[in-house]
Amino acid sequence: MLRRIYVLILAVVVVAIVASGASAFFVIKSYHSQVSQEYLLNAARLIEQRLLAGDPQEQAAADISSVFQRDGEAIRVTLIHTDGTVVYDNFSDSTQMENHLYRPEIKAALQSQEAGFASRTSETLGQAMLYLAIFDPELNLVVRTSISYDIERSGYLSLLTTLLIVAGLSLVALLVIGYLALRQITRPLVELKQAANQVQQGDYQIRVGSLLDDKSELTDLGNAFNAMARQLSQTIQALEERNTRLDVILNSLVVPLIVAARSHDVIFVNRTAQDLFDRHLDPEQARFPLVLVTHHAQTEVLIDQCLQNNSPVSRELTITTVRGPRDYQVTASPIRYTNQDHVILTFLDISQSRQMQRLRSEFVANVTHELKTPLTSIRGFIETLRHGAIDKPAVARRFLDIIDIEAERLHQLISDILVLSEIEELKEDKDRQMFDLHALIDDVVVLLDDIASSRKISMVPEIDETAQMVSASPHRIKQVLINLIENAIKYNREGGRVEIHTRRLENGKLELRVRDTGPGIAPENQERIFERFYRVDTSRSRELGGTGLGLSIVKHIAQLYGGTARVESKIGQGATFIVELAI
Amino acid sequence: MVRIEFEKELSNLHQEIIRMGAHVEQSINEAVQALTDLDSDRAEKVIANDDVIDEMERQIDRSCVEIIARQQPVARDLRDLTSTLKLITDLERIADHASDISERIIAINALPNRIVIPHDIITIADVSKQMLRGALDAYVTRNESAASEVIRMDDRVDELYSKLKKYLIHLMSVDSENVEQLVELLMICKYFERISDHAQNVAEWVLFFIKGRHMNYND
Repeated sequence: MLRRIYVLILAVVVVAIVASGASAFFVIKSYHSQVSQEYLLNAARLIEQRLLAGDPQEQAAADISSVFQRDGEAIRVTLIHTDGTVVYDNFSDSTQMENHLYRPEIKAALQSQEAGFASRTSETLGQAMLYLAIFDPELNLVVRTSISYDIERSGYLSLLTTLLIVAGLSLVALLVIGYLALRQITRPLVELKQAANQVQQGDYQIRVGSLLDDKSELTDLGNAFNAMARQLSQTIQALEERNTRLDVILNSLVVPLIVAARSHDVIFVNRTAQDLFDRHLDPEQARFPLVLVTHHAQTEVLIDQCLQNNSPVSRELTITTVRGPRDYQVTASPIRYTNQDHVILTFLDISQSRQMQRLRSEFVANVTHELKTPLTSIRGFIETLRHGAIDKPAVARRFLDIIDIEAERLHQLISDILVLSEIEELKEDKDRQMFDLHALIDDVVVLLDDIASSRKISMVPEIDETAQMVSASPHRIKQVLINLIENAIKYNREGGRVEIHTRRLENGKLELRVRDTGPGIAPENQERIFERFYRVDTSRSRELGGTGLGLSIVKHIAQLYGGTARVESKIGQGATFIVELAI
Repeated sequence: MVRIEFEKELSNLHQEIIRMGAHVEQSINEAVQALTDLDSDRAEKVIANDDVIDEMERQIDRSCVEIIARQQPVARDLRDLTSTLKLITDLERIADHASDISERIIAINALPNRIVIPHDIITIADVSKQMLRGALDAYVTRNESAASEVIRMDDRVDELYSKLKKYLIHLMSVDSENVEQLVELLMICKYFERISDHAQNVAEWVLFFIKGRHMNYND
């Protein structure tokens, strides 16, 4: 804008200067020419008077021309007879000159009886001249005076030079003054433009000042601009805060979360998902498909299904993570914003619940199997009895004994399962009471004496004085003792030993050790024998009437009293079961 | 108009390569998992997945050649396409090695004696995995420093490999019963070493694309 105003002013000024200069020049030039004519006329009149006074022609011409000089050059005087013959010329030889009757100035002087004037090139001198001629009827002569046109012209040429210099100087002055003035006027606009640029580049703190100072028409504009910048800065700040907040929330979410587009391109991955899949890429920096993160084609299928149904879709998938393959419940929910279909994928770790589920169904299968085995046997023998064996008393008695044993095992199994589920339900024992542990151990030894002596096994309780009175449910502790000691007897060699130690540990817990002299337990089985229905040797265990739940019950009771149960054993060197109880 | 279409085709091609990379990565992950658990079923899956990857390579190769023929790209675009052609070959080789490793795992499981996998083999597997991941990340983001990092990691794999080789040879000399298993393990180590070399190649192609010239890393 500055430039356009500048150019416009410049054009106006140039036109004005040229117009005024030109008109001044022409006025002065015509004035100048009038002066020259009067000058020549005066000279001619003087010569005419001198001639009328009777002065000789040469004298008169010389005198006058010596007086009328311009720029050191005398004027030319020519006397011409009415017939056109030149009678005198002070610049050249008159006899040599041609007839002048038809020269324009002479013709005009003869015809009008007034002064004739002409400006033309002299044929005699060969240069541009100004001529003036007057006719005197008394002398019957035409007096002509002339000067060189160059001299005439140099007069107004110098004027022209002056004019041009003045015009040039004033133009320069105007350029400078105009520029400064314009800059002063447009300064607020320039500032506004710069401020707008700053805002565009993201500096929302900029404000314009000079617009407001001078109370001009631009003040309102300045105020409006500042208000806009303030508003913009507030909006941007609010947006940034909201963005940061959303970012922090999404990234702090413990649930892995990914947003993907219809094209399967990833739009957003929260930090948890980045860590889980060990892929730390920013979707704002680069384009990549979902499968690069999840490594599971089904996650992309979920996106398609979710967008097709326009409703959340969920599926259980085994996905490779930094912690190895794990089970996830992957849910895809559609979201829609700015006209684009996106899908939020969330990943819920269900490995643990799947594991639990597996354990539960395994347990049910085991229980069913364990219950069916004695039942099948019982039914088999009953069937045999029905088909006639009942009539053979010896056989029938033996069968009834077997049925009794199996029924007993069934009973034992069911009561074990009940005990186990009862203990599992409990978080702490509410039936705690003080009782004498030594007495209880003695009771158990007496109780199991029959089985032990039948296999010639000796039981050796070694009791520490510090571990006599304990606070627990005597019923449960008895269960632990029976299970451990019975096992130690059953899985022992004939004539072996079962040692029972109790002592108080430094951490205040009670340690119960039951050591046998049996075949020992292989390392890979040591952990597993505490699992439900786990048997090292299935057939042998059944033969011995075990339910497969004994050690599991021991372990759970130990846990109920804030303790642990473990085994130390080497093949061929017996086994030691160690139970720690906070009682 | 032609240019826009070309850009779109190129962008789609890149997405396909990234997809292929993700598949290869999954193959390696599964192979490493199969090795850790000595799980033959998992190993079988890796071998089956190799055909999918081969098909992907053929597809991308065809697309590449087709684009070159139709669009006749020059300068940077041509460089992009030629490095793509080279890069997918390396990716495909990595998948082949994952399949080879799986075959070795199945072979080990078929042998009578169970052996313990030396910890360093899992380490070399993890580093190879990291290199492939790094190379893919560098490809996706066109990141020079990420690519250089991958190239640097190869030294670590070479070092691990020679260490493992000595260790396995030592084991063979003392445990003559399990020589067969140990040989299989040595081959597995070699495959991981090859995988890391190919991952390094991928990173080099990424650098070639970014810088327009080949770097010499053997100095």
